[in-house]
Amino acid sequence: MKTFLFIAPSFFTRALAALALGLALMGLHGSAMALTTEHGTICKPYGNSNTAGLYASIYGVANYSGAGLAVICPVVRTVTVPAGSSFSVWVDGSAAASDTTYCSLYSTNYDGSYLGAASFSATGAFSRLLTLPDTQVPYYSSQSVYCYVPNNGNLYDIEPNQ
Amino acid sequence: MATKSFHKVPGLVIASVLAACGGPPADVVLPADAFSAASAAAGAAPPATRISTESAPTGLAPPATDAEAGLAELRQQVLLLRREVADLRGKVSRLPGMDDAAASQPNPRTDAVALEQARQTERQRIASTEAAFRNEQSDARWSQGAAASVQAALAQADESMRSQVRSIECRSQSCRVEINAGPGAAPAQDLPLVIARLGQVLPHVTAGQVDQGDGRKATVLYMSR
Repeated sequence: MKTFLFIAPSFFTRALAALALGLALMGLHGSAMALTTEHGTICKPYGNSNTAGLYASIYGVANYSGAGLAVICPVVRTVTVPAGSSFSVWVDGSAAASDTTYCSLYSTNYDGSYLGAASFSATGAFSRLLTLPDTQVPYYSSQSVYCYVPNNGNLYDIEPNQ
Repeated sequence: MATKSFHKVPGLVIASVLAACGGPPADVVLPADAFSAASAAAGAAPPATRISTESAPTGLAPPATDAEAGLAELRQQVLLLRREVADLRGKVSRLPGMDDAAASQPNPRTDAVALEQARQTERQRIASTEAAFRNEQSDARWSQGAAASVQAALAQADESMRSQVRSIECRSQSCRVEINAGPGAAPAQDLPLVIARLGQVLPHVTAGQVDQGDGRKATVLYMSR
């Protein structure tokens, strides 16, 4: 461990220098970001939008309804998915260690047809990646994240990996 | 969010940087995620769980030991690297020619040829999924357990949906579930709950629509482990 701590910084310094040099040579220096993280407050109750108990804050949304609550969150996709590739979304949140959160990434086509989904279930805090193959994410399709949040659970954000 | 993971840095960039530096010294131990990123560049699937390599800022006094100071510096450098990579990604996505494929994508809503092409692609997608399912070996032990899981998840759904389930068939890797279109406008309103609850056993779902014989479309789910 000691070796790592004394040598790694100099190694990474060299690495950063090499990257900076590469950027300079490519003429690509700039500061624009391509992240499209969506805050959890973009989510709304699944089904009846007026369902009580979903609280919004700087930490995203929290379920204080006293029971499990399903939410639906739109995914902003800014890319086409090349053949043989995939489209992924990170989902971050938390719940009590004994409670389970269920989430799925859905894809539906422009005509309303259901194309596919990818799911996970997690206990406690989670940061998980959901991935759909290119065949389920055609150009004119749209995606959403569905989560079943246990009581007192939180959904911090969803982050398309693009 | 302060706790973003290192492995979201594209592996190709990590590999390039390593190469530019002549590779890591033999006695350097990189964080495990760095190797994950490098292996992803070599074609390995990305990990399904991201693990934070950073601590949330606490506002406490700076690290008291050399080890902690070194680690803090390392984290700072990784953050800088991530920003540069994100910057590069943005630049590359805006380079001339990158959007050509998207711009030339015909719209099936307004273009009859594109519509027929989209329908054909969809038919092929479902046919290929169906064929893959039929070609699976039968595994009695797994299929029994998987079918029981599907039924247990369906038991959580509303009766109006349960009554529309036409068939459940499991083989060795996946289950095929056919659900008739119900009388309501949104027959599968409960479907997400069922699918989410099966996330541990059958996390991947390919869905399609087939004619159910009365002019309406049944939904077919191919749920695989």
